[in-house]
This record gives sequence, structure tokens and C-alpha cells, in this order.
Amino acid sequence: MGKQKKIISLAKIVLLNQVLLFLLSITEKSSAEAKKIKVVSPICTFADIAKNIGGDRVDVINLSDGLNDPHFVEPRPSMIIHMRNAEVVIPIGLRLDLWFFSLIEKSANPKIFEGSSGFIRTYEGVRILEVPEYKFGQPRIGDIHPEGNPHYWLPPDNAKAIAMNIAKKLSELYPEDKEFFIKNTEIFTKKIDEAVEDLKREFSRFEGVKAVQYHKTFTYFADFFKIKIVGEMEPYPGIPPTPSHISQLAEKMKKEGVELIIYEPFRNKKDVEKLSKITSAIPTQIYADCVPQINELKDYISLIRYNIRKIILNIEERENNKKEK
Amino acid sequence: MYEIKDIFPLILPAFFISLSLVLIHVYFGTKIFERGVIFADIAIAQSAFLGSSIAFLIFHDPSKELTYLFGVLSSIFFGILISSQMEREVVFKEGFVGVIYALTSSLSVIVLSKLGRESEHIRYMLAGNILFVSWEDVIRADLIYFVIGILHIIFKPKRRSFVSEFFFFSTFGLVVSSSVSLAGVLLVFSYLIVPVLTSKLLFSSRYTLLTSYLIALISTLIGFVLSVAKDLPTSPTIISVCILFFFVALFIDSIKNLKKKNQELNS
Ligand SMILES: [Zn+2]
Repeated sequence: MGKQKKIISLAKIVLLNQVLLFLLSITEKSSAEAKKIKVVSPICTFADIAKNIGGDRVDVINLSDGLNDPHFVEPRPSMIIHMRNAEVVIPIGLRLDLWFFSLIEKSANPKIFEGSSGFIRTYEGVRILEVPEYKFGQPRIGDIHPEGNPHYWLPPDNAKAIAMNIAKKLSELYPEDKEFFIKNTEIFTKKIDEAVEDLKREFSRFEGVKAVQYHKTFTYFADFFKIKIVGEMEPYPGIPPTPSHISQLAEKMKKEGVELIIYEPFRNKKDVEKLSKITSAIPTQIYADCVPQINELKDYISLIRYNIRKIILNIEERENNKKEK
Repeated sequence: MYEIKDIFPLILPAFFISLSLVLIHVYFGTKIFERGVIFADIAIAQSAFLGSSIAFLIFHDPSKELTYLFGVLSSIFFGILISSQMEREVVFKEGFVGVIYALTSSLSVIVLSKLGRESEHIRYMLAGNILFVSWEDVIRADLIYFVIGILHIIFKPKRRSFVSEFFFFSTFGLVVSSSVSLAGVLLVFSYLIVPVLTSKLLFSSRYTLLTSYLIALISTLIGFVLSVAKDLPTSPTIISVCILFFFVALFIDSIKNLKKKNQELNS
């Protein structure tokens, strides 16, 4: 009897020990993880840039990607948790990602409120295009871009500026890693420059090509790579195409010899194809944000490479079609 | 990724507000159903939307309260119009409500075109998301619902008159304007219409209110659990569960009808 009891109590001690060890391992693990800076980004591109700058010091989460319209993202419960745990947020701003700001507010996490230490002014130093001038008493047109065109992150210059802003903020928060962040920014900038040099060379023959876009998504991108945007399918940003606007646009496209209609995957394809039929401009679906689960779109550099090569491919296809005729 | 216990305190206000929404909307839903004017839900909400867009037309950047006030005033106005016709026959009533819906919709389109904005965008700005509801919102909304609930208990009309209908539709407008701004149009409509229809298919009309409440509460509970467990958008999940129940009820009802027909044929 006594022996049995002893064995049982021994087993209890061993078991207790195991449990304690297990608990210890959990807390150790979580403290190791807690050392990483938690960063939350509304889009994949900012997340990729932050990963490049922060390296293994950051744990970055993106809430949306190139398959979705960043203007309208349906919030999910996990997003609030991510915000609650965030130390740094990288909003788009300019009233594009209102949903992201609602999540910040809902998180009740003072570290990431606008103006707090964890809130990055992502577009600082970026020249914002199409800032409207409001005159008192006049209706405001196209309110989806009330503070200018917010789709600023695609051109390499702006991506570099965003990287700088992220590096600056991370260095402010974690001065002990400042050199690491600055070195990473230099490496990332160099990586962009190399990729862009190649892309510019590949694209040089096509510079000045004329295109129409669905929404004002690619204005900055087109500016940088010297693609001439002749117009948008939306009469005003955020207002779906109307028949009268499309017929006017089609006239203009024929007159100017527009070769491409560029649009994102979530736009109305039928509208694009209809316009393509009347104008013989080629529908060219490209992306405004990276998509982690698609290899050729997995990060920022892959994204701009994909876009430029897709555009080249479609221009060449159009040239071949013409020859055949 | 995250633990359910972390998320619970964050979505508790959303859960409470959906319980309040169930309490008030299912009640109004059954009353609307009794009147045979299901379209009145959409017509009143549309007139609230019209009012809010008029606020945008008059003021450039109207505050939340101002857009709400305009929404309420407009829905009361159209509520009076609808209530003035409630003593007519059902076909005319439903038609009239349809006309009001068409009128408020096209007026909204005209107002928005003057604004140069797209209706979806304004709708997005005016309509709330249940996940973002705060405790303050819960308390404010519950106060409104409570007062209106009490008023409805005190002034229970013996028979319908213009005054009773005016009272009904203006309080209805007040509720819809407030709940749409908190939880969005879709969830509000679903609570108004779907549980009542499901209950009508399955249960005797003596228990309509009670069974509608039960159906709405169970859908909400399941919707919330699913939304948290599978990380789905909350309102659409609740709505889907609600509608799933409706289709199950439809299926059961169809089988019952088939059996009845067979029996009639046999006898
Ligand atoms: Zn936009």
C-alpha cells in the first residue's frame, strides 16, 4: 500500500514538474516573440517594405493585398486583435483606408493612435498629385480622393521615401537598432534601384505609350515609367463608368491612339472588355499591391516587375495583331 | 494566430448591440408583416438615406449628429405619408409603399448627382459596421430603443388609425436611422424581415413574435461564434446564418405541402 502511495506521489511530482516546464517554455517562447516589433499594415506593399527595413526585428502583418480594393476592406475580428497588439502602424492616409483608421480607433491601443509614437506618417516627403482646391460654396466632386490621389506607393521613388519614413520611426522607437535599420534601408534602396534599372531598360522602347485606367490607381506609376494616361473609365474617382462618359472616352481614345486599358483584378471586367471592343485598346490587368500567396507578385519589386512586363507583353501582342491584319 | 479569449472583450459591444437590434427590429418586423407592407422597411431606410444625403448637400462636411437628424426628419416625413394610406387594401398599400421607395431612391440619386458622389460611397460612410460599435454607442442606442419600446407598450392602440400609424412609422424611422448608422443596412433589413418569414413558415401565428425572437437570437449566437472562430466578417456571417434558417424552414414547409397534396390526392 505504502509503496503504491509513494509511486503515485512521485508520479504527481514528475507530472507537476512537466507542467511547470511546459508553462515555462510557453512564457519563454512568448517573451522571445514579444521582443519582435509588431507592425500592422493595411496593404502588402507597406508590409513588404517594413520587412525589408526591420528584418528579423519586426513581425509584420498586412490586412489586405492586391486582390482587394484598398478603399473598401471588410473588417474581420482578427484585425482588431492585430491592432490591439500592434506597436507600429503604417496607414496609407489621405482618406483612402478609412477602415484601417476605424480599426485603430476600435483597438483602443494608444500606442498607435494618430500622432502617437507608433503611428507612421507614411507619405511624408511624397509629392501628392491631384490635390483638389476647394472653393467655398462649391460642391466637392469625387469625394473618394478628397485630399489628392492617395495611390502613391507604386513608383520606386515613393517606395524609397516610404522606406525612409519607416526606418526613421523604427529608429526613433528602438534607437539601439538604428544602424541595423539604416543599413537595411540602404540595401533595400539598392535592390530597388537595380530592379528599376533593368525594368527601365526593358521598357525604354515603349515609353510614351498611351493608356486609359479604370480608377486613378496607376497615375503615379505611369508618371514614373512614362506611360501617358489619357483618361479614366470612372467619370470621377469612385463613381462607376456611365454610358455617356465611356462614349466620350472612347472617342478620345481613338483619336489619340490609346493602346492599353489598365485595371486591377477587382474591377468590372465586362466594362473594360466593352470599351476594348470599341477602341481596340488591349485590356491589361495589372496590380496595385503585392499578393503574398502569388509567387510572381509576392513583394514590392516583383509587383512592379510583373506590371511592366505585362504591359510590354500586351503592347507587343497588339503590334503582332496589327501586322497580321 | 489569436485566442478567442483575447477577442471576446473586444467584440462584446458588438454582441450586445446585436442583441438590442434583435429585440427592437424583430418586434417592428412582425408589426410591419401584420400590415402587409414588407417594403416599408426598405422605403423608410431609403428615406432616412435620402435625408442624410440632403445633409451632405446643404453642409459640406456634416457631423454624425446632423446627418442622423436629417435622416430621422426625412424618415418621419415619409413615414407620415405611408401611414396616411394604411387604411386602404393591402394591394394598394404595398403599391403605395413601393412608390415611396421609388421616389426616395430617385430623389437620392438626384441629390447625389448634385454632390458628384457615388451612392455606394456615401452608403459606406453612413452605414456603420457592427465590429466598430463602442459601449457608448450601445448605451445611446439602447436608450433610444428602450424609450421607444416603453412608448409602444403604453400607447398600444386598440385599432389602427392615422394617429396610431403615424406614431408607428415615425418611431420606426427613428429606430432604423439609428441602427443603420451602427450596423449597416444589410443586417438591419435581415433582422426586420428574415426571422419573421422563417417563423411564419414553421409556427402558428400566435407565437410569431416569440419564435421570431428565438430564431433571430440563435442565428446571432451562431453567427458570432462562427465569425470569431473562422475569422469571418461579422454582419455577413450573422445574415447568412439567418437566411440559412429561412431556407431550411422553406424546405420543411415544402415537404409538408407535398405530403398534404399527396394525402388529398389519395383520399
Ligand atoms: Zn482611389
